[in-house]
Amino acid sequence: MAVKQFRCSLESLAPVREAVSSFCLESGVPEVVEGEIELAANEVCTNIIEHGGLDPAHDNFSIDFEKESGAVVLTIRDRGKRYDFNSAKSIKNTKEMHKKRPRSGMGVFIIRQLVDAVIYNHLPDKTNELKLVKYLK
Amino acid sequence: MPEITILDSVLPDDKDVRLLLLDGSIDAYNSEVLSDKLKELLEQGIYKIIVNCDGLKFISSSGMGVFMSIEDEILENRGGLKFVAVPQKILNVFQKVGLSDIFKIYPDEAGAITDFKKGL
Repeated sequence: MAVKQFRCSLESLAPVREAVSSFCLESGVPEVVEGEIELAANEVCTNIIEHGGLDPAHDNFSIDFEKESGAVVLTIRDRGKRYDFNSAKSIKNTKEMHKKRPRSGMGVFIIRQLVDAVIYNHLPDKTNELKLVKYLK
Repeated sequence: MPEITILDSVLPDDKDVRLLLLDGSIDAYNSEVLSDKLKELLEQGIYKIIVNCDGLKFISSSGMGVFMSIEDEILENRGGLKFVAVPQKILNVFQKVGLSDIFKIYPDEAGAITDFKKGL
């Protein structure tokens, strides 16, 4: 398991994607699947940075990278505002996206389309923990 | 600002069509660069736009949203937004999230130009 820390700033998005990409390459994940994990992780981190209320000068978030039997699991932890992933504001489906053509608010929908499971926990020490699970078929 | 460059060129035989060549990645940090470029074209009355994605490494929901937010204005002005040379990795996510049903996607510029000439 590898854990990486990132500054809570939009400037961290490119390094996040580089880390996801390197991990997937080392783990033998096909490029197309890597693209799905990369985008899902990017959207989670964007939400933390933009809505977590954290200080870009001092606060970090972390990503644990794991390859389990037949799956890649990314665990993203932050100490920002508690959120409820299941009721986060987002378009609900492709039909709504076609109708509204939104400028924003697609992140949660996109994450759900691209990974197989999303598990959110608010830990006793007030850490937000979001697991992205992608099965490798 | 992370790496995105947008090369803007006019097609020699059709001044109404503009070609944008994207090189780099688009995310929440730099999507305004793309937004500003597209607004600039719309302000000039350019509504037929071909987006060559051959050099595009990544696009987030912020970048997708920029394109979606101008789609209505483009269609109202009898224009179109056509994507060409979309890398497989990005095409796959476009398909998974349903963007490939909203935007017209072509293997190369020739197909997009032909369709513009046909009024499609």
